[in-house]
Amino acid sequence: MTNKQIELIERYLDGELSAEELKNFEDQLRNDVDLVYELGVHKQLRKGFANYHKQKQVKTMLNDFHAEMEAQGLAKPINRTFSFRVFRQKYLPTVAVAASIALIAVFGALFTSDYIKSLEQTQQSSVIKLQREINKTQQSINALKKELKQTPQQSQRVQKSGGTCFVISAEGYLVTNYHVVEKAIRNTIEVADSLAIESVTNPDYRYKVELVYGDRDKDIAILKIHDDNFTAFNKLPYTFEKSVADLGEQVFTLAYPKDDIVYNEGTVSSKTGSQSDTTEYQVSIPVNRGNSGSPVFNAKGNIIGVITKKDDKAEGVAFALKTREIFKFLDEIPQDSLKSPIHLPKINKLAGFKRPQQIKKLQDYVFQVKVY
Amino acid sequence: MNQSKILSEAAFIEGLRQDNRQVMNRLYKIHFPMVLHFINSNSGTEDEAKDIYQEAFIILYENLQKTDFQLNCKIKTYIYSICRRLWLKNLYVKSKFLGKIDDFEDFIIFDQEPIDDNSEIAFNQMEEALTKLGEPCRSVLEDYYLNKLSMNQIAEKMGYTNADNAKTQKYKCLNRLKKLMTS
Repeated sequence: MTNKQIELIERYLDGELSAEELKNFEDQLRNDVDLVYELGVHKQLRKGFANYHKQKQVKTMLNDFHAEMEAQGLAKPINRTFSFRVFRQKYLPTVAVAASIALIAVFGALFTSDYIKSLEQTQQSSVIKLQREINKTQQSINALKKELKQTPQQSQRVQKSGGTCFVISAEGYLVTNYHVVEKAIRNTIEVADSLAIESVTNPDYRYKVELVYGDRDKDIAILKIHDDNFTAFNKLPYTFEKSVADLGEQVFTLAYPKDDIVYNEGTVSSKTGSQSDTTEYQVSIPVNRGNSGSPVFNAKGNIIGVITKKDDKAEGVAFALKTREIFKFLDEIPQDSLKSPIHLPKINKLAGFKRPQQIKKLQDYVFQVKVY
Repeated sequence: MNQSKILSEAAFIEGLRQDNRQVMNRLYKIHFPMVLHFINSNSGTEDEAKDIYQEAFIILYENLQKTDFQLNCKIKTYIYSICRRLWLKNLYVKSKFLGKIDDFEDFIIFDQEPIDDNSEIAFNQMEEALTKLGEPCRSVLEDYYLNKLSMNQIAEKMGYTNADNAKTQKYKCLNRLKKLMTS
């Protein structure tokens, strides 16, 4: 772009061209794209100058205003001590969060304390209830204690050992094992009435007894009923077999190994006892502790012996003292230790009866020995 | 016009449209503290506040000169909104923007630039170009286009022998300015 062309454009824009020049210029504009562009740039520049001029004027004016304002001391930022709008915009979220937390905390605390209080109350009431229960229990325990003190003897007595015994005379003499009543002998000084016999067949058959005579070696003892309620037994239905029983003879026992009478049967399996003791039979009857002192009957219902012990090593093997030895023992008893003579039964009333009938009769004469 | 008289919004707008210096003076003084507070609160100096405020004021003024311009909000809101926008732009350019800006007034969001005519040469652009152009070109061009002096007056003022010489000088200067602007 030459200066000539620029001059032409400028003069065109200033309107200084002659009619001929103008015509030429306009012709050029139609053909020369570059010239059109240049003309546009110049127009823009002129407009730019105009705007610049205008703005500069305004700016000068504004600067005057500003200087004036500064001179008046007004060019200070607005001094807001408090603006709710600003406060809200700046701190609303923070305040909201803080407030919610505070609310939650307050209500949480209130709720929790209420809850704890109610818990405490329920606990207190249950504690009071418990206290009452305990008091009641204490009172009933005290009452029980008093009752116990009033009736000490019977309930405090403890059965130390037990066994079986059977009647040998209507006057109230009974036979049992010495070892059954051994403990009672040791206690005679302390407790006079430490021996008793019981029968399950009749609740009235409960008598105090005393030891008349005993033999530790033969393991046999004689008891005598010593009770105000007792007068005498009916005539005994059985007797004592004088002859020695045969091998294989059917025998049975009635005994109290528990608190009820128990029937057992077996056979005479040997005429001698343990270690060939000739005073005893060996019988094949299962026996237990309470069997000690129980009578051994033969098929007729006569007594052939008294169970003394069992074989510790073999099951179903027991030993019974022969009747012959019982007679010997009875003869040995000093007469002055007997308050009345012993009259052994002479007549058997059971022979020929069936076993259950025999037992019905016999069980009235077999007792449980209780040693306290 | 009575200084103490409280002017309505419409009165201010009318005053700006009619280039009423007194009205503009009052308006200028009314809203500067607000902008100063805003700029100060968002890591700006008082000088920066002045520049931003004047720029915004000029935008308002120029827009009001256009017949098709319609102001849809309060003058205060408009000025604040423009200042806010300009300041945000400034912070972005300086990479100082921290992602949050403290606001104190209601403001409107502009769909377009307040000055949307990009074909026009901006004030700053012209100022910059003229500064680069240097003397005596700047004086020649300013005297001719701004102060509307004749070529004879310019020749006399600048010490050229005649108007034609002055004219030639003017064309040269204009050509240089053109190059500066387009580069």
